[in-house]
Amino acid sequence: MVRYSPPVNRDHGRAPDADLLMSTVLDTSSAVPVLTVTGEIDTLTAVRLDSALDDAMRPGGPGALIVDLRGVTFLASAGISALVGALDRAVDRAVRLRLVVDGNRRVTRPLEISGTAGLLDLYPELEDAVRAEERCGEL
Amino acid sequence: MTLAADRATPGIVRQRVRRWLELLAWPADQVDDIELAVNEAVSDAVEHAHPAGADGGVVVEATVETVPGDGGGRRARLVVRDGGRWPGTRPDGRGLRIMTATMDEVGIHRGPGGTTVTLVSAAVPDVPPG
Repeated sequence: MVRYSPPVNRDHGRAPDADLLMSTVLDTSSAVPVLTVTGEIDTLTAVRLDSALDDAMRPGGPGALIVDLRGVTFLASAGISALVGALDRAVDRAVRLRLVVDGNRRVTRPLEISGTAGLLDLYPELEDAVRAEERCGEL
Repeated sequence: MTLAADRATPGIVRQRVRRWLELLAWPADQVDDIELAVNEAVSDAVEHAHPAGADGGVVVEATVETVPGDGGGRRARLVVRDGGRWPGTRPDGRGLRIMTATMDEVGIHRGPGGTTVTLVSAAVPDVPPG
């Protein structure tokens, strides 16, 4: 099942194209759910990323989540905070959180210079994250 | 340019700064870095500098200057000004870390009339002739 998160109107009537800035799609058709994030993550959109990550890691749900960031074209500190917040939640809920970046410099550069890259579990390709999950033997 | 203290403003500034630098044939990786830095400065201005309900704009000035000395080249100078007061504590220092890592110089001046953040980019080569 592919669930598209419709733009939630939490931005209190900001610019009309704000929702086009970033989109998230949660794919739960395989054993490990994949949240695909596309577009720009900044102070305007980070709140939606945060709730999409929270929804994808519901307590009692799957023990893993892969977040595909290959289509992210901008990552601000607000977006990094959302990812770090998701990591904290993942630890609390015993969910393995794996991020796919594929050398996307617009993601890796801000993660590295903000000192965050080492905190997160980063994978070059989607298959690498899936394989790492398979090795956990809980599929 | 003067913009509203709105959460959509950082995106507008990013787009304009990117277009401006691309017209100046700025190296792509440097455009990304300047976009990261100016976004953090403008986001801070929007998020922290205005008490709830207060009306205030954010002013962004962008200029290109010649680097003095033998090395030559050019660099971008961006000044982000707001009319509010920066709170004493910040929720996290990642924004500042991003600015200092991407820019040659970051200056923050807090005054009674507001906060001014000055960003000076790394030097890049002059546009090749022709």
